[in-house]
Amino acid sequence: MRAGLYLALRLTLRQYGVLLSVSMLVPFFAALFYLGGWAATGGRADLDKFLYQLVGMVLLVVAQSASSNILWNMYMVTSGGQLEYLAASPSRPLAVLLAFYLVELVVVGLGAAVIAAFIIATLKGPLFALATLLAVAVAAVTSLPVVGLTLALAYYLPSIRNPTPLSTILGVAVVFFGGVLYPVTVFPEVLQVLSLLLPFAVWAEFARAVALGLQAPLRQFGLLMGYFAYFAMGLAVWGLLMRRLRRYGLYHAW
Amino acid sequence: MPGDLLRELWLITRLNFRPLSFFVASMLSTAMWLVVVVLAIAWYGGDISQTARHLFWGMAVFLIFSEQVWGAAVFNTLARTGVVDYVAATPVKLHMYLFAVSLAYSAVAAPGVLILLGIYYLLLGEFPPLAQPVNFAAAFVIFVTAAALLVSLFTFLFIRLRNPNFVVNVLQWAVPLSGGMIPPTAMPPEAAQFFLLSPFHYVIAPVVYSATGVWLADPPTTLALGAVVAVVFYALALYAAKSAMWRYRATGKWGVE
Repeated sequence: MRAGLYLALRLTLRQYGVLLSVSMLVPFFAALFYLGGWAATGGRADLDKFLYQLVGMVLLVVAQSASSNILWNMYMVTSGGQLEYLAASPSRPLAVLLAFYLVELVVVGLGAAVIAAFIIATLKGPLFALATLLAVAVAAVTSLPVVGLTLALAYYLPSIRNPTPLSTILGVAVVFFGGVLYPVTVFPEVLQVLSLLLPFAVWAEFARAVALGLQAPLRQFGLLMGYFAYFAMGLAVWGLLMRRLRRYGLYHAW
Repeated sequence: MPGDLLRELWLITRLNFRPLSFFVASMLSTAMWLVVVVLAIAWYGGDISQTARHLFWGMAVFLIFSEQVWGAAVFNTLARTGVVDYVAATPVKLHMYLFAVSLAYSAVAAPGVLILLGIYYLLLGEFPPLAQPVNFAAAFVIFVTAAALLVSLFTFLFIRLRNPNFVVNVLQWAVPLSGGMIPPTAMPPEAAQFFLLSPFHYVIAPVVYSATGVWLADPPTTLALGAVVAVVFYALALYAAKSAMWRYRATGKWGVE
């Protein structure tokens, strides 16, 4: 893990400007939706809904790091041929991927959280800024089910050979079913049930309650813990993938 | 020029559609993104069908422009790897070649627009209305031409940057937004007037206006100004191409190497 952290830090800090620009997209997109809502309602858009979407955008950044970025990092070490070396070294490939995730969370997630917290502090007061930072920390810890789902999908990476289709679908699934830009109650019942089966919406709702409601809804805590089954599944599938790669020796098949 | 266009269209189409899984994933995500954007905006209290009707052509314009700009960003790699050197060695005029490439990329966005149309139909049981078809046709031709010329101009900026991704991201949003991708006619009049100051407004917003039938200014004047803006973009692209070629002949570099 320590070697992975060192590697991730070196690579991440080299492109810090680009990563910081991702953080800047958070208020930009939230403002864009607000502008659209403002136009759609003839100038009567609710500011609370803007804050809802602002926090939602920060959560999307965290979810993006936990899903798409892990797939792309996996692709990077696989296509570059480093996976075989990592598998043979004391620093395990999974620990390296998680180290990348951790560093991206700190660099990009924190950047997005600080920008959002500043806006929220201006509109609602400094206490809410602290709550936002705490909420993002909670979201980071409880994002492991999303990581698990990504690891399970990574099983298909050697056969698909490029993470684009997987990361595209996973990315849009988070934003569609995740309740980050609108509550899932706007959906028909079937989609609400589907949304409940995926580990996004409850995760986002829990973090948002901390940020904007200054409370941790304990009734959702059990459900949130239940989603950790996704993480367990991801670890199991990852084990299968590594066993398959070792068995056939196809660490860099493309 | 027609030969360039057909060749680039064939090349770009092959590159974009060869992996079927990419195409299917892109189709699915485009459709879901349309629903997300409409829901995220309509959640503020607007009527969903009205919001979709107002946003549809703006999203289509964004899709086409985005495809063109990211296509232009590839020239950063092409300049780095020496491919643009081969283009410079051919008798083809650089600005016309880039214009053909941008047009080809806008054609590649067509399946995405068709998917948007399909999803719109599935959601609302009708196709997005076209209030003024003749004006729409004129506005669409002006938009595609002006956008391709503008993107040709941007290409000369992208081949000078080490990593153009940030600038591409900014441009792909700044141009359609300041051009009226979200229809200014739906905004309060005090805010809408500011759009008249943007040159992009005269090439982008007419597509939306002619589809919804509500214009911010007189339609013939707006369309004529759009044509003038397209001519200005052509002149700028020509100047940028001549400068880039002159610099390349003098130094042997495009800027990014």
